Amino acid sequence: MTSLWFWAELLQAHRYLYRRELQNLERYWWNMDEEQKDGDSRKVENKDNVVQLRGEKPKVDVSKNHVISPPPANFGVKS
Amino acid sequence: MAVGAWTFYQRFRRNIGRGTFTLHTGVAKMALFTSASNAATVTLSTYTSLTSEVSLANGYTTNGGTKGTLTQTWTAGASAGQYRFNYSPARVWTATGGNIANVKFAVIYFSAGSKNLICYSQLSTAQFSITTGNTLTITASATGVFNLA
Repeated sequence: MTSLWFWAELLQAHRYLYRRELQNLERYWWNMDEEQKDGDSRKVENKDNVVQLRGEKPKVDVSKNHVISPPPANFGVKS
Repeated sequence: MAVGAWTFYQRFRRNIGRGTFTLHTGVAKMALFTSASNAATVTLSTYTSLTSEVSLANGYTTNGGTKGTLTQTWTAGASAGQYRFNYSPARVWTATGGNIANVKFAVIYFSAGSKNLICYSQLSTAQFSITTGNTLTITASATGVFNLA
């Protein structure tokens, strides 16, 4: 009988600790800002070293865009 | 990254006189070539004589593809006495899934028939690459590609 009581108490204590730990985790999660939740694990670098988050389009480095406007050809001959 | 003016291929002037094409309605295209290309040889006459076009990959299509097709105009230029060859909108290539590598020359030619060449521009002193997600935009200057004054 004593043994049964002991195991019942132990189980109760475990359940209490487990629930408290779960509540702590939940509280910790809701207090974090979005950036912390994302964490570094979501950040990846593509082969052009442009940082992006998984599942998002790469953030394009616009400085690598090329805009070229060649001057016109000389059609006529000045006489 | 010094850009060179559009430069005519010699046969272009001859072909105007012969009526080989129509500047107003002919289908003109733009294609890109590497530094290994002979695109700057003004004695060439047709697209098929050009070598070392930019590789078909990552957003670039051989012949320039649909992205290289110009909507050109042959209309009055700075004055009623001048006529201007121009195109709009600008041609834009976007590198997707990899780089569009080794770009140095842009060539404008007529895509129909013999694919006669019009002119080329050396876009840069050295070849360059368009990295993934980025664009190469080739716009006509404020005074067009060329003017007949």
